[in-house]
Amino acid sequence: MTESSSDKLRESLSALMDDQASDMEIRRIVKTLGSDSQLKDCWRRYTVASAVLKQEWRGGSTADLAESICSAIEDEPSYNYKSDKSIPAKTWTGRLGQVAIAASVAFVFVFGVQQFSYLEQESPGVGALANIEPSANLEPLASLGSNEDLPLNSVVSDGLNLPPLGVQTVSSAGNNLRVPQTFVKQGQASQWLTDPKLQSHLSHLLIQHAEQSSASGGMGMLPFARVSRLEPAGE
Amino acid sequence: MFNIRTALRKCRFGLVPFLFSVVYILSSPSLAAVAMGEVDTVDKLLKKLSHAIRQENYRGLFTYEHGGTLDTMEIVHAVQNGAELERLQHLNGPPREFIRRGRPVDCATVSGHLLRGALLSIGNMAISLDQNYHFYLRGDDRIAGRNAHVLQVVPKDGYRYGLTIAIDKISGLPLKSLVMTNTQKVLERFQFIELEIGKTIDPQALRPSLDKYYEVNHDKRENCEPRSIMQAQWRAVWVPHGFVPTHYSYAKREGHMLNYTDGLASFSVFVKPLIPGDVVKQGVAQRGATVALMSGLSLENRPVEVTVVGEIPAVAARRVAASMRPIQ
Repeated sequence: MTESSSDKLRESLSALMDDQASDMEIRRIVKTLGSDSQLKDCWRRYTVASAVLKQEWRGGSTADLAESICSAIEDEPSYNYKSDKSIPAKTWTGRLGQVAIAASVAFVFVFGVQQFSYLEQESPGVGALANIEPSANLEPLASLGSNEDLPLNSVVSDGLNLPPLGVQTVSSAGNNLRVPQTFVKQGQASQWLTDPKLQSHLSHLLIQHAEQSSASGGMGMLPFARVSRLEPAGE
Repeated sequence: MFNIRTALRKCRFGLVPFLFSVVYILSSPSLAAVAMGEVDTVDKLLKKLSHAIRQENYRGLFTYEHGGTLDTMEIVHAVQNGAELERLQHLNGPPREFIRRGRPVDCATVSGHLLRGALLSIGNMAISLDQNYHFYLRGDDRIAGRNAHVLQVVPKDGYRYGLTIAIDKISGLPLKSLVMTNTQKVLERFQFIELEIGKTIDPQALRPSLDKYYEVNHDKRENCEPRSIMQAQWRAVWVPHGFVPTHYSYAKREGHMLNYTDGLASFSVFVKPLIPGDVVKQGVAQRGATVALMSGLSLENRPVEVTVVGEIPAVAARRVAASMRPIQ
C-alpha cells in the first residue's frame, strides 16, 4: 500500500518537474515532502536530472544546497586588509575615490549633527555618519549602546555631568560595603550635579590623569585641554 | 633611551611579573594600510606624528568641543638644548595654564613606542597597536589652512573608542582629532584653527602668563625609566587587551594611582583606602570622551574607594574598577 502510494508520489513528482502535475498531485507532494526524507532525496535527484537534461547543471556535488553555498562563501577571498595582502588593486582603488569624497562631506555633517543632537538629546542621524565607512570586518563590540554609559545631556556647567550618586557608609565591620552591581542611570534631575566638593574632587583626579596621560601618551599637552578647572595650590 | 631592562633588575615583586617584566623589542610590524600602493603609509604617518609632536616647534590655537560646549586654547611647543618647553592655556572660561619644562626630547614614552609600531613584551604577551585597532586612510581634509591626511582608527573591541585624526601632510602634526563610540557618536573633537610650525618661538610665549599656573612635574621621570611601577601596591587584574601600566604613585589626597595606556587611549585608576565612617561615592560621570567611574570595593575587610578616570567606555572602566587587587 505504501509502496504504491510512494510510487504514485514519485510519479507525481516527476510530473511536477515537467510542469505537468495536477493541483491535487501538487498538494499531496507538498504535504508529504516535509516529512518524507526519501521523497526529499527523490526530489533532489529529479532536480539534478532535469537540470542536466535542460543543460543547466554546472556540476558539483548533489549535497545540500545550503552547505555548498556556505563553503562557497568561505572560499571567497576575505577583504580583511590585515591578513590578506592579495586584495585586487582594482577593487580597492576604485572604492578609495568615493571614500575620499564621502569623508570630506562626512566631517561637515558630523559637526552639524553633533550640535543638533546635543540640543535635541537624541543620537546623531545615522544617515550622515554612515558616510564614515566601517570595515566589513568589525567585530561585534561589547554593549556600548546603553544610555547610562554616555550621558550627553544639555547641562552647560563646565564640570562633569553627574547623575545622582548612591552613597554608602562604610561600617566598622567593613561588611556593609558591596561591589555595586548597577550604576545610577543618567537622566534624572540631579542635586549632585552642582555639589562643589564632588566636582572639585573629580577635577583633581582629572588633572592627575591628564598629567600622566600627557607624560606617557603620544599627544603632547593635549590632555590638559580636557581639564575643566584648576584647583588653587594647596587645596 | 627607554630601557626597561635596568628596571627589571630592580624588580622586587616577583609576584606580579606582568607589571614588571617589560622588555622592549625594537620591531615594527607594518600596520597595513588601506590601499595597494599605500602599504606602509599608515606606519609612516604614525611615526611622523609621534616625532612631530615632540620635536617640532609649533604654536597654535585650537578648539576642544564636547557635549555642546566649545573651549578654545593656545598651545606652544619648542625644543631648546634637547629639552621640550611647552605651554597650554585655556582662552575661555576660568583661566587655566599648564607648563612643562625640561623633558628630554629623546625621552621615549610607551605611547611613542607603540605609535612607532614597536612590539612591547609584557610578561609573556607581546603587544602592538595593530592588535587593538584597525587603521584606514580616508582621503584628505583641509584644516587651519593646511592639507591633511585623514586617518580613521577603529577599535577591535568594545573597550576603547575610535578616533579620526587629520594629520598635517607636511609636518605630521595632528590638526584634528575626534573620539567616537562604536555607533559613530562623536564624544569630543579637537581642531586647530591656526597653527604655525617650525619657526623660532618667542620665549615670552613659553613663560607663564598667569599668576597661578600648573607646573607639570617630571622629577619622577628624570631618566625616562618607569621605576615607579615597581612600588605599586595595587594592580588591575583585568585591563582591556593591550593596556600597559606606565606609572604608579601614592598621595594622601587621591590615594594610590596607577596609569595605563594602549598607545592611543589611556586611563588612571585611583584606589583610596577607607576608614569606618567614610562615605563611599558611587556613580558614573562623563565629560566628552572622559569617564569618571567611582565605586567601592571591599576585599578581605579592606574597604577602598576605586575611581577610574580615562578616555575609555564606561563598560571598560567598570570592569577595571572591579578587578583592582592589592599586591601583597
